[in-house]
Amino acid sequence: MQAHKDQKYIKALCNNNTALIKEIYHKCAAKCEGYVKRNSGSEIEAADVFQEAIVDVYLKCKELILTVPICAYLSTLYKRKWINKLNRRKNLVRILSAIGYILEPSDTQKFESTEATMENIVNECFKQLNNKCQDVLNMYIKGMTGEEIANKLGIKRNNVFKQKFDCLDRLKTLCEQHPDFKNLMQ
Amino acid sequence: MEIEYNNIEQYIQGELTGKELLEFEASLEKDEELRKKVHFYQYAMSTLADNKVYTKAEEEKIAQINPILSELRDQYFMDKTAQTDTSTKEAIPAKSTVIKRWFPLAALAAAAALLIFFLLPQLQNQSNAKIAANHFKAYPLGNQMGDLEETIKNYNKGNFAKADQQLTDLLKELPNSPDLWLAKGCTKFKLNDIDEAINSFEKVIEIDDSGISQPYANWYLALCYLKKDDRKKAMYHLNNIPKGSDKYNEARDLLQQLQ
Repeated sequence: MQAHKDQKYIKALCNNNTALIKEIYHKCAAKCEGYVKRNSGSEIEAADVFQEAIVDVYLKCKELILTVPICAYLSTLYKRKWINKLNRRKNLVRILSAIGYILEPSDTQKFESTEATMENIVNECFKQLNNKCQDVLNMYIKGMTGEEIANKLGIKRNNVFKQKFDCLDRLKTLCEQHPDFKNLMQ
Repeated sequence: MEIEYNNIEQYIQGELTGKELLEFEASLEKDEELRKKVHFYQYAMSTLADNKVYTKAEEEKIAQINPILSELRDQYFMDKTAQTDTSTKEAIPAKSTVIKRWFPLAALAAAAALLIFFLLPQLQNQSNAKIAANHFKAYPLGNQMGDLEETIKNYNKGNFAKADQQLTDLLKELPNSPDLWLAKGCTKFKLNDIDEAINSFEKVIEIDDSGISQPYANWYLALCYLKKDDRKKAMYHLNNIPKGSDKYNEARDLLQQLQ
């Protein structure tokens, strides 16, 4: 496969070549900021998703072959990250409104603090799951498909889904019992 | 039950389509427990994925590049004035040189921060209308307007009452001139007719296909809204001024002041 001329930037990330990495920011950062801001985000949130996208590329810089311009490649990453974040917020509002906790995205301060509290609860409860559950969910998080996980665990694909949702149910129960979650409801 | 898990998985992955999707959405609508579960599954997986735990090797690798990324993050997202001054073609020198080179700037920045700290209460006391008045400078009408000399003369001299009538007449003949609408808006601003000024600047945004006059229109709209004591709308228009365009730096400075 013929690499795009912007492959030099991937190499630059591998070699920590500051001048070329700076060019990536110069070429692509404003686009990311524009996209996030047009989609209800802030400058800081744009900086976060852009940074995460760069780190993703950096971690696979040895095997990544770029076939499109660097900004186009990064944009698929940060857009996906930003859409995930927006969806996550939407789901957070739904989860909390189901228990009678009304969260208005316009109330930025309250929203951000509730969002951070909920993220802590989920992360803490995840650590309380047994190893098997953590492994299955981690495989999903790393982007493995149901098929790949089934092969790795030597079980049927449908059983992988069952395990995944059993673990998520356990996580849900743990979260609901978490003192900070109960505090939210008071 | 296996089919249900399969369906939930496909729904979450966005793989359900057509009749199956409609059926699943109908069951979500009916079954509150299922709905709560699915929302939680989506939320939890997305949260965990976002806070993904790196392996030790990955953490060590990230630590190597983090200082560079943090510096660039500050430069390109948090401090845009720096990026306009610095050529990207220029190679970045070794870290010690960077420290030497940036030390005076850092000292200046610290001094500026101290000044802001002491001046902030005074700045905050400034009314929005005053900030708008301090930042307002009428859009310069150039001689390219040809036989409109007298209007331009009155406008540029600050005879806004006269210029207002002349601009109204001219705009009947040249209704699609962004420059004239900008001048009209500035005239109305100076005559304290802010609603009419807003209408004129909005007209610029409507007719200016080239985009050249848009930064000016947004800038003046911001000042109009400040004068109307509406900071939120003012900040919205300041944020609409694209990077690299005229008025961008002024807009960033004013935004900082307003924040």
